Amino acid sequence: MKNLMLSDSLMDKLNQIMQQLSNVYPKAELERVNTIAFSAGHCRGCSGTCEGTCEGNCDGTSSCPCSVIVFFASRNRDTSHL
Amino acid sequence: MVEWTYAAKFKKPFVFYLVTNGTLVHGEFQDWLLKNKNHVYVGLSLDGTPETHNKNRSNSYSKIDLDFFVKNYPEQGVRMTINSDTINNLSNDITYLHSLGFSKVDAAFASGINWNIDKVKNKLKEELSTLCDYYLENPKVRECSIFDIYLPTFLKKEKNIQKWCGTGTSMVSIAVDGKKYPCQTFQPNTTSKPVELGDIDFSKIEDFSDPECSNCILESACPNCYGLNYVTNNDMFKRDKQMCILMKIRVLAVSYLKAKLIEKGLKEMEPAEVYQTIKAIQIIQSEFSTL
Repeated sequence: MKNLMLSDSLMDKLNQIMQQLSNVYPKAELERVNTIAFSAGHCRGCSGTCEGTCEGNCDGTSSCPCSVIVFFASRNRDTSHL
Repeated sequence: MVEWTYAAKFKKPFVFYLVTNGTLVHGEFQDWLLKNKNHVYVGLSLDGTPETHNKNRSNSYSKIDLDFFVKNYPEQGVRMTINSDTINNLSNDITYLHSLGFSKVDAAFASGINWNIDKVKNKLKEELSTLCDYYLENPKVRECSIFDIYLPTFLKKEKNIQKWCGTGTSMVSIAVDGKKYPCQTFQPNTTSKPVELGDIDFSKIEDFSDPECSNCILESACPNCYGLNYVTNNDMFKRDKQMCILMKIRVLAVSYLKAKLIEKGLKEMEPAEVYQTIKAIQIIQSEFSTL
């Protein structure tokens, strides 16, 4: 069965990449976590229930209309069809 | 409403956003939508292949004018709902939606249903693994929203708990009787019961945490819908714990894909991002190895 675990050899390779970066860049620079970049180019990805009215860290595209008044047609969220 | 809004000449920009299953978007209504395209955005709900979509949505696939949406609203992408009955076809469904020409696929796991987690979790891993292979073979395709998780977030020592939406603050949902609700999910036609929220200050972000999740490294990135919490658990702060395994498998898949992309040099990243992503991958692969 396919799974999502990485092989030992790939983990080793990733370790080597980290090591190479550590040899070139200061540790503080490498470890500074950019919390703003929550997800690139998308809203925060709720379970879809916001129906496009979310106001998370989106990129301001028309599907995530931040900073505008939004009117929307809500659908009946009856999940019995599932 | 659209015409009334035009006439009101608001200084603030406005848009109308419609989510539709597409079955009634034809003829005159299409003409009207195009005429008002600058202010009326339309998003299509489409669950994947015709078979999957028909299973979820009453054999309605053939009633959708797909070309109309692809041509006129390509940037809106499609909204896809995944549930336990369709998970067996998940990778096919998503690659099918990519093949239609939509620029993005927003795929969400259904909330408020019985997931039979033990039954579906291995299949989900398998399907996401197949999907990772697809993205590795097609690096120009924008990954679906399942993979929209920024792994370095999990390295932060202090969790950055944020409210997920504007419910109760910038959002208001007005019912047909004029009563106001924090958002549409709190309306009684969704909850199917009277809504009694009590005195809640929706602006107090720090209160929007579920104590049961405080030890989970994924807490700050785990999707949360306060309305559906209320529908499912009668408590808007208490998350649906069925979603925990789904979220963990999802994060495991993201770590798998990112590792492969880094290995193959297929993703442009700053050195710090590569470093932190690898660090997060190591944590996730170790933390969730027994799922």
